[in-house]
Amino acid sequence: MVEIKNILCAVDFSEISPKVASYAQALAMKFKANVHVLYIAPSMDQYGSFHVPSASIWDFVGGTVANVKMMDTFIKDNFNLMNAKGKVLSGDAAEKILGFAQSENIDLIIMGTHGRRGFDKYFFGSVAEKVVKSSKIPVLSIRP
Amino acid sequence: MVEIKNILCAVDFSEISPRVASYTETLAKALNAKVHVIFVAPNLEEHSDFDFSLPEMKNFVGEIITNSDKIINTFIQENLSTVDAVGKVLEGETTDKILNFSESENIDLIIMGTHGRRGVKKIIFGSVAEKVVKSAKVPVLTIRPN
Repeated sequence: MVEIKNILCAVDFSEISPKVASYAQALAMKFKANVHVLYIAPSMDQYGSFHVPSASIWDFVGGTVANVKMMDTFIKDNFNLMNAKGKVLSGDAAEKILGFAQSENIDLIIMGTHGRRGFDKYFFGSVAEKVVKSSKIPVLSIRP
Repeated sequence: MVEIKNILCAVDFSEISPRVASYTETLAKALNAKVHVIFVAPNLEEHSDFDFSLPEMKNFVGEIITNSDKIINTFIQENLSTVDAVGKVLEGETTDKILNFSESENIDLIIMGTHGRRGVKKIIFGSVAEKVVKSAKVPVLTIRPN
């Protein structure tokens, strides 16, 4: 019999994220499982080949602090029936999700297939595709 | 609150199928949901690009179609005996059949493998999972072989 004790809920704080969280909460309660909510902020390394003006570096740093706050609010708003742990990482989203899943002994990854519009929409859609193809553990994909 | 009452477990009777069934069983039990196991048999006419005149190919596909009802019931007995599960064999284009069945039977969750049989089936089924994930209106749980 398969066991589901640790659930990873990967979000991008887009319009799909509350729906992803609602599935994570519903399943976690049925299985009495722990939920880790993960947001991957884009890393500066990815833009290494572009010239980044210094002001935007500070915007970026401020952005990560804002991300942690956003995570706290997201958990408060969406995990009203149970506790969930929030985590913000930066870097390549698919790699970080898969790495986190391995290091935290995750049994199930839950994520949206389409996120924000524009840049992030494109970015996150391809992230979901990569995770579905490479993950050794099951992935629950949720479409808006 | 999310409700999951009907689960669709799509199988291709490959080495990944028992693992797909095992996740289905665990979820169906926890959620007290009904399971619909479906197998979509290839429609020979839709694959005119393959040489179905080869006797081994003809036998392989023919055997699966004629025996699939029996195969699916045995599969349920062996893998999903502890939950309320019914089997259904469909014939045609796999993605369409999975998506149509999912809508007509009010499926809340689709569970399937990302890679099936080697060779022809692997190509067909792998791309099926990708298409289903992209097009399904309900959540899709994809399972990769170990």
